[in-house]
Amino acid sequence: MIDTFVLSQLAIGVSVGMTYSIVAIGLTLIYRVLSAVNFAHGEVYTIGAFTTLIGATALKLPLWAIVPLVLLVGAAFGWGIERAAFRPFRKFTDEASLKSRAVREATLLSSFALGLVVREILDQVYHGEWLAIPQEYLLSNPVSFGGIHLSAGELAIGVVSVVMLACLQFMLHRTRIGIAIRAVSSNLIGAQFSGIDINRVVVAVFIVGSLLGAVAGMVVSLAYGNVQSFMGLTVVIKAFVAMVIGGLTSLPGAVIAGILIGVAEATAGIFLPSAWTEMVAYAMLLLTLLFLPQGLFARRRA
Amino acid sequence: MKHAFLSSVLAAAALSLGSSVVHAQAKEVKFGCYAPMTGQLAIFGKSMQSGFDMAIDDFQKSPQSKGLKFSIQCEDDQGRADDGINLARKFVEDNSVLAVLGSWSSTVTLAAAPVYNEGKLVNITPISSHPDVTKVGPYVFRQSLVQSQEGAFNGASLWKLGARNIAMLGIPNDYGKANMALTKRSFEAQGGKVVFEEFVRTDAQDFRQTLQKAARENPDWIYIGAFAPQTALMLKQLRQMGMKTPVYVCAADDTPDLARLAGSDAIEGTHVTVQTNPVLGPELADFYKRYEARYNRLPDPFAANSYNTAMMMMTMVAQQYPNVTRESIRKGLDDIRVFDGIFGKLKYDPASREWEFKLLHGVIENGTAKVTN
Amino acid sequence: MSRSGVSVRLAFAILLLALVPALLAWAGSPYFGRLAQVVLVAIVLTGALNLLTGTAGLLALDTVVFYGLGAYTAAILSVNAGTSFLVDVAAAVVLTSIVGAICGFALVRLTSIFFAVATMALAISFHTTVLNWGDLTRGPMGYRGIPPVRLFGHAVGGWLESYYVTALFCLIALFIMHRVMHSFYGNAVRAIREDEECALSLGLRTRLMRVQVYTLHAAIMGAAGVLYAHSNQFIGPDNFVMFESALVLTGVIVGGIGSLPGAVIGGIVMVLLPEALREIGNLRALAFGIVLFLSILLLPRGLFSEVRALALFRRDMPNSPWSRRRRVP
Repeated sequence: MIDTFVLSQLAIGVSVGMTYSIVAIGLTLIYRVLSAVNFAHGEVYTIGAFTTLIGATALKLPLWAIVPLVLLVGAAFGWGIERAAFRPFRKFTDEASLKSRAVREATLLSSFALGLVVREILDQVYHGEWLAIPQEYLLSNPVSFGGIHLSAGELAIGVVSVVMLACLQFMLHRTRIGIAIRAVSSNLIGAQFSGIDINRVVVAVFIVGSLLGAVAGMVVSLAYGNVQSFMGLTVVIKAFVAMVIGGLTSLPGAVIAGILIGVAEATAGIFLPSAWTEMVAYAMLLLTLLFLPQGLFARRRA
Repeated sequence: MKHAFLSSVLAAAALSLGSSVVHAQAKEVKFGCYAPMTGQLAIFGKSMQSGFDMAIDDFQKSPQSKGLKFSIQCEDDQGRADDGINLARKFVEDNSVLAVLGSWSSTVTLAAAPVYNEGKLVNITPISSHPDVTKVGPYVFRQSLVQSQEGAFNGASLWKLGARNIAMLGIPNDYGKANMALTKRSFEAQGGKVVFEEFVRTDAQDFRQTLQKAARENPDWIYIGAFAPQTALMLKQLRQMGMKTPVYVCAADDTPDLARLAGSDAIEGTHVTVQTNPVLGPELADFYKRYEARYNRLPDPFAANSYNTAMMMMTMVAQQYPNVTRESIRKGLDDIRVFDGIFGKLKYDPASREWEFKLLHGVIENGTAKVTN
Repeated sequence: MSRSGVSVRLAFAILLLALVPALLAWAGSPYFGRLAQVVLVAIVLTGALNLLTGTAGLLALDTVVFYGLGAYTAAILSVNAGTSFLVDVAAAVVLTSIVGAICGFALVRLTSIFFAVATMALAISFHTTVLNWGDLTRGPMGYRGIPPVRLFGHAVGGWLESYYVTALFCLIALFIMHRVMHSFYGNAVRAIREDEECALSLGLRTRLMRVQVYTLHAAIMGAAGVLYAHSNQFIGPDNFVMFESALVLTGVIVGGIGSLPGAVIGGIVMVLLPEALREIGNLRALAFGIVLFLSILLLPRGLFSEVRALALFRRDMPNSPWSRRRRVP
């Protein structure tokens, strides 16, 4: 009979891990297609949270109206990131150029810089303050089973992650744009010969990925209630670690890895002061890179 | 009101163009200031600036000011010790700066203080509460609550409330570490026992794991030594987890930000050490009214302290004018024994080099702290 | 442009050792003196990172680890054991070389993006350790009261003298990096960067050389840390957040990946730009992000590209395509 204490600690770990997973999904999708990391993804998450905040406080919209607003803003922002930080480096559209190391490193840095600029602008506008979403919007009704107490918001994060994953899998395998995406990420030249427009696919990937990121921001901010301009940065690093551990191109892998990180942090937290649990994710990353470089769920590009 | 502000800004701009000539004739007096204006601590720096601005306007309207024009423009140290040190060097070399106010973070103040001390320029901090600040040297002053004071009060309050076994949670920065250590020492000196003590991560949003670990030890009270953003989250999560243990929070949480971030429900019934509360005196109550009228929000302890210290400095300079130098300011701060400001008649103890602030125990009702004794 | 590499180096040395101190003495401002020292330390950092990221082609974010190790070694030793500057440098270099070699061996298998991520993980872990291991590092309060440079028992107290010491060490470090980068060894490292399989086929021991470069860059950064600790007399965990690594990387990129003059320029810009922008105050970080973004977009090769640097320094080599004194064989 496992101690309820341990169980509830692990439950917390799972729920924290899901916040990483939910952000990792969008990040992994972009990586699959471009082999490039979008370090501005954290800002999409932050923007999603801030849109929720603005929708709730300034515009006073009901929750069902905020959701499409967040989707719209997220999509627009994703399109903007692609335009500003990624497209300028795609002067040639052959595979070697698109996936060359120089381009990948350049886009890594340019998306990092873009993310920084967005973060600082938000910081200027909101002065680095922690802002609270009004009580009525928050999903903080406690839900308990066994001795474990969770909030409705955390369950929502879990549910939304799974739903996002399912929708994504559906889109990738059943829709035309999904097939195009898989084609491009699997064999670029072949896809081009089949008449697929690379640029459209890339833009679509960014829009979808950023949509997911913005929704993640919305759900997490509704669960915890506070937003701040730097919240995306800490999360995106963990999400990135989840992506790498999960196998870089595997979407379910990223989700599972995220949960694993959360649980590992929680387990460490039982024995160590929580200030040290920060290192757990990075220790996991280093171990994975050293001993299991393909990650947990690596598969052939498909 | 706007003219005074504008002219102070213009004066500051003109002076800051690197002029190293003391304007003996011009009736403009410049104080340097370093505070976190950007970054994670930006709200606190802005709070300080708001206190300074209001103090300048109020003082310049009174006849005491002798027509002098003061300027206190806070330069950004981003909450980083290095920037604080650089700004200190800059101010020391700028002969038009008579004294420097700042900073907010004890780490920054402690790092920059030796530079001021060597450069023989007075640095007075209206906020930093780490005990070591006033020990740096004769040119470093402080007019705020000291952690040793607060720690002693917290420990005594907890004991008086009947706490015997407490769990302590704090943040691992200069404030949190000093606050927790001194509160713990005072509480244990009375005979209490600390059954759980942990420092959480400042950037975390989810403290439930630590809270659960604390609950496991069955404390009769929980003490939190953190700033409003973290304390607010902890209080919310405590409520969410259904934990009924009474909570006592440190003086840094005696701020309207707590209610704003946590919502009045979560903080209802929380005990807090109060330093800035209208009930402390008519002057403070009046300050609250005027601050709210001017800025449309309630003041926090940082704005109040900044206002008070600025007033004291300006009063001192106006009294000494026209024979005001950096040395005369230091002597003035050494010699002063009482200052009558918004905290009433504050007393200065030359032996410890600290000002004695009145602390009260309060309980939060409907979003604000109601003082009990 | 008919400068030769030797004259450029000579000019730079004169600048650092004669011109700048003269300016500083004339201005009589310790503030600018300290600023100059910060610039010098930044130059050493960008130079060392350029060695790893530019010449060896390994994008790395672990600057703060070795820089921090060096700085804390100096702080802990000199405050607690009263050691002199040179002892601190020696201790820091030894420590960072060992740690660098170990990390190098472990990480060098990883390719570009994985390597970058692993170094990022190292940097964040280092910062967390420094922040929380209060007994060793005094935690968030930082290490105060680090004594100024003491050479052979003689305290180098004045700010101008302190500047000279820093400038001297900076020049030594730059010289070492220059000799490594513009030598057959440097060529070999560049070859590994461009095409590893080809380099292997030529008999180069690629992994070993990468580890060597990594260790060297770690050692130089450790020395820079010691310089910083003694000149600033205060260090804290805030100096070693991961963002600082990104800053140094930006300096390398803006200056020019793969070129030492570029790294020097990048280091100078990286420190002086925020200072010059201090008047804007709040917008510093924003301006920094914009600068980085624009320079990647518009000036991907940096202000002083690698090709130009190579051309400059090879002008003196006989038989090189850039040589003006071609000796026909």
